[in-house]
This record gives sequence, structure tokens and C-alpha cells, in this order.
Amino acid sequence: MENTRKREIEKKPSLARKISKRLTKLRPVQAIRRWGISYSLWPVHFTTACCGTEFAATSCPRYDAERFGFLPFVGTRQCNVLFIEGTLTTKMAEAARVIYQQMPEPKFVICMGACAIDGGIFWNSYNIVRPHEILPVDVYSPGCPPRPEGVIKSVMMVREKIREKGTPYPED
Amino acid sequence: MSEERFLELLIGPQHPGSGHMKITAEMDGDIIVGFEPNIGYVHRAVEKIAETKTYMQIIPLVERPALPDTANHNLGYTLALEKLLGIEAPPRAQYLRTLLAEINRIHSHLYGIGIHGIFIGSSTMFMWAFADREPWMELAQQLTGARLTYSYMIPGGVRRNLPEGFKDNALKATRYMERRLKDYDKLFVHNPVTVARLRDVGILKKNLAARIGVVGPTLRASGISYDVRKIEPYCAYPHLDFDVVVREEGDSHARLLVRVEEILQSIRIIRQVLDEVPDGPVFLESYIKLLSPKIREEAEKTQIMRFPATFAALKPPKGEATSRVEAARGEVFYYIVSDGSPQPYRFRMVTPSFRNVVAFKYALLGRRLADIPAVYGSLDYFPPEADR
Amino acid sequence: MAGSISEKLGDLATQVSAVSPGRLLITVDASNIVETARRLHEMGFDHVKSVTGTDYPDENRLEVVYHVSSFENLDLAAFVLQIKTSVNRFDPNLPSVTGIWPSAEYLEREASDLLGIRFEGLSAKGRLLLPETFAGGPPLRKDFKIRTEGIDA
Repeated sequence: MENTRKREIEKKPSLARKISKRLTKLRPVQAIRRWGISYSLWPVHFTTACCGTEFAATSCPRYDAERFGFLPFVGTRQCNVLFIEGTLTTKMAEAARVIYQQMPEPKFVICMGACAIDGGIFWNSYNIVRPHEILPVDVYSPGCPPRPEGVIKSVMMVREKIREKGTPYPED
Repeated sequence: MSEERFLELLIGPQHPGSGHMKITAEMDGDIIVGFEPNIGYVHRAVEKIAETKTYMQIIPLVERPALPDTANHNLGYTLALEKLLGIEAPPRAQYLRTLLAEINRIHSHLYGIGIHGIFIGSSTMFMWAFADREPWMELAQQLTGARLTYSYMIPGGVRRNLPEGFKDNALKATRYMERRLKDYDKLFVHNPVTVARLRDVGILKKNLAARIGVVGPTLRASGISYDVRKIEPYCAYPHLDFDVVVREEGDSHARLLVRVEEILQSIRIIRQVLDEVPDGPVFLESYIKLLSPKIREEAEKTQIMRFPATFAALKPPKGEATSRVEAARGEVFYYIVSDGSPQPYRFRMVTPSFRNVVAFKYALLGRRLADIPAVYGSLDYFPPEADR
Repeated sequence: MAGSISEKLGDLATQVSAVSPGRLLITVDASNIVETARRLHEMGFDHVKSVTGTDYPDENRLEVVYHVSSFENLDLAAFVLQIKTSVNRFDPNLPSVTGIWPSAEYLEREASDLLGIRFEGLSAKGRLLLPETFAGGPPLRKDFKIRTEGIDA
């Protein structure tokens, strides 16, 4: 049993796999992939603290973030952006870590609000955690709370980051 | 055999909804037999931090727990501080405070109705309610300069005077809101699907509601006529004419109807305030005398009161003060103990969502799993407010 | 109002006085708190608004203040009673009033979590607001220091 498993893993990749790997490294295909990801950033429904009010207002008709492909979705396995809105307490930080690990690659983290940057008005509280110590953050968005235009700006910044620098494949 | 019959369901801190609360539900098939909320996911220790900040720095701190409803929390804290200092704001300031408090009550109730709508599945209601919050936040922005965190009320009065053209804009907004409430009625409030999901769901009977100590629209929907604006009137409420909205059924639909009716009562109050607001200063004369002449001139010219440095070391006399106001979600209670230093010795704040947590345990026993969003949305529970 | 309350409580309370319009102060001993609660409940005060604990390390005591009022009786609803008791700082035990006023349940749990007061008779166990792995003493006591602004930040 053990020997057959080992033999299968050491098998050489097939011709179809080699061709597809070469094709996907081509520039046009990469550009289409980045365009697709940047227009479908779905955040997890994970309101961390009071900035959630302005996050909910971003999806409302006046600011309408959905025209950028931004759809707050409920299941963690189908989302690729995690918004840390506001303060992250120690109890919630464990949940944030679990949810970040549950999201599929490529995934991004946006820190929203002054409390997510360095504590904000609660900087000396005994129960909060700085998000940059536990998660890799892509974009910080200042404000207390940031206006919905600020939230949309942070989404645009992630999109620019995707279009210019690209996102690595998980296997790389 | 009975231990294997009950299933323990964990509805964790990330769930389709506002999140930050864990619920442990014991299920017997589809029926809930035990329901235990687990809070503390947003506990940011406002009370401990307040002991390290000066009295004026606590004003933004007090607003942050309840972001949809900041003016009422700000008002409660300012009233308690004024009792400690032994002063009273001038009449025009009292009317302007009432004006902002009622505008805030309207858009906080719209937030609650919108969230309730999307919990049940009516995303149109969510979009309409949040879109209709924008005129009210525009009005508040004209008055104070911010969308949600106003910090408008300071001990001694308010920070800015009424701008030009405010009265016309506000009356236009009230007429628009009354038209929209008729649309809400047809779409959501008396929709057969909503009624089927909300009627007789999550009933809190009258004596149970009084015994477990719920507040706000939850209490008034169970038949108890308790509104702090009538029992211990503050600001301009003694001179205004409005009704307390009470319903007898105690189910989720009654709570929704109480909120919608309260929006209409708030519109009535705003119209009266704009008609009857008296002329005069918006800030206490004896405090204005403490300012330097240059700042005084600038304040009179621009009608904006910048926070003068004289407030930085505000030292109230030794003593205690309590105050209570009626926020959108219920009654907020403040208790400040001062020992003569610039920081308070003990700062206590009891918010309405914290007192409503216990309603989860009683309202959902015997109901089905699909009733959890219907009841959760109707209680209008805002977790950062409960955990502070 | 102060007169009728002190008449009802008899010599259970060490002091009953009116401190400001609508606010009455009642000082009792820690052992008499349940009996005081029962008599006030008979008068019509039916819920607790707040349970506050204040730490006085110099006087070696924790002061517990109950703010009590009424929902159903609109004459009594205009009054907020402040019932003050004191417990020892190193051994803070207090009987729970949840048997008479069920609305005090979450408030007492919060006080026991953040200040370390043990309420006898409180049925629910476990922390309410703090995480289970919280290290250190009760946070709201004066010897639990957090960073402050200024030179010592």
C-alpha cells in the first residue's frame, strides 16, 4: 500500500498538465485572471465592531459598492476578502484567525478604521489585539468610522494591487 | 436516551447577520429547548479607559459603543456631567439637543428595521431603509459636520447654532419620510410573508418583561408604558406634545410596529421643535466669560464653538451624579463618581442592549430554529453596545 | 417618599435620605440586603437598573451600589433608589438578589467578572464579558493598571 502511494507521487506530470501549466503562465491569461479576481471581491460577513455600521451603509443604494463586484456573502468558503472593521478583542481575534484560515486563496485583508490600525480610541484597553500582529494586512483605511467613500477607496486600492502586482498561485 | 436526543448547536461569532455574539442552542429536533447567549466578543473596557481620560475626552469614548445612536448617549453623559457641575444649559441649547436626539432616533430605528428586514430575507427592505437613512444623516451633517459621530452636546450647551436653510430641509425630509413609511407598510410591515413569520413569535408577556428588566421598544411592545421622556423629562420634552407608543401583544411584529410608530412620533416632535425653538445663546454665558476675547469674538462671528483649552482640565466638585435618557434602543443609565480630579473616579454606563440580552433566553423557548433571525432582528440588539 | 421608605424598612437601613430631585440614598449592611430587597419589592420597586462596584483601596472596601426603580407603578417610576453596601476588599461576598429581582442577573454577573465580587446564589457560572483565558486580577480594581497618556505612556 505504502509503495504504490510513493510511486504515484513520484510519477512524472502528464503532457496535458505540462501544457496547461505553460499556458497559464502566459501574460494574457494572467491578465484575464487578475481582471476576474479584481472585479469579484466578496467580503465575509464578519462585522467586528462599530465600524460595521458604515460597512453596511456601503452596500446601500447611495454608495452602492456592488457595482465593483463587492458582495458581502455569508459563507467563509466562498469569500476572498476579510474586513477587520474596528476593534479586535482577544475573544474575537481567535475567531478572526479561524475565519482567515477557512477562506480560499487568493485572499486579502483590509483593515478599516482607526481601531484596526493601532487601537484607535481604545488603545490602552486591556482586551484588544492589533490586527497586524496576527494577520497579513494589505490595505489600511483611516477614519473613525471611515466614510463609505473611504471603504470604496480601500477596495479600489486592493484592486490596483491585484492588477499591478498580481497574486501568486497557492502552489508557488 | 434523553442526552442523545438533544443536539447542541453552536451559532458562532461569524454568522449571517451582525456577528459578534455566540449562541449555544439546545435543539430537540427543530424545537429550541435551551438558548444561551455568550457575549463579550466586543468588550473594549470603556469603563476602565474612562478612568484614564479627562471629562471632555470621554465624550467621543461614550459615543463609540452605540454608533447608530450617538446623540442620545452623548446627551445622557452631558446631563450627568451638568448635574455634577451644577449648571444648566440655556433654553435654545435644550431645543437643539432635542432636535438632534430625535433625528438620531429616526435613523437608528431605520437601521433596526433594515437589519430586521434582511434577517428575514427581505433585502429590498434593507436597501430602502438604509437609503432613507441618508437624508437624515445629511441633515445631521449640516448641523454638526459629521455623519454619525456628532459630539455635539457639551456641558454648557451645544457646539454649533442652526445653519441657514436647515428648517426647510428638515421639513422636506419629514414629508418625504411620511410618504416612504406608507411604502414600507405595503412592502414589509403588513406583507403576508412578514406577518406569517413574525406574528406570535418570540412573545414576552407583560409581567415577564417587567420582571426580567428589558427596556425600550421591547418593553413597550409588551404593554408597559415606560418612556423616560415622559417619566423624568429632560431637555425640551416637558414643553413638547407627543405620545408613548404601546402595544399589547408582545410578539416580534408588535416590536416592529412600535418602531415604525415611533418614527412618526419623532417627526411630530421635530416639527414642533423647529416651530418653537427660542432665540438666545447656545452656550452658557458664565462659561463664555472664561474664554479669551479673541476666541469669544470668533465664536460669535462664526457661531461655532471650538473646544477651548479651558475645558481640558475640567474639574467638577467632589460628588456623584446619575442620569437616564431614552435612546432609540431603550433607557441608558449613567453614574459618575468624581473625586475632584480631572479624571472620574468611577464611570458606570448601562446600555439598553445589555439589559435586553436576557430577553433571548425567554423569548425563544419552544420556538423553531428558523425563528432565531426573526426574534434576533426584532430585539434590535447591537453587540458593541451590550459589551461596551 | 423618603419618609415612607424609612418607615417600611424600619431599622434595617442605617440611613435613608433624599440627595437630589428623584434620587434617594439608602445605606444598608451587606447582611441585610436581601431583606431590604424583599421589602422594597413589596412596595412596588420591581427592577434593578445597575449594579456598580467601586474600589476604595485606602478604606479597604468595595462599595456596591444598586440602582432600583419601577416599571409598572408610574408614581414610583420617577424615583431611582441608590442602595449602597460595602464589602471587604479581600473577601468580597454578598448574597445575590436575583431571587427577588431577576433583572439583576446579568448585572451581577458583570460585577463578579470585572471586580471579583462573589454573589452567593447566582446560578449561572462562568465569565460573562472577559475571555476565559484572561490573566490577571479583576480589571476594574484600582491596582490593575493600564497605560495612560503622558510621560509614563
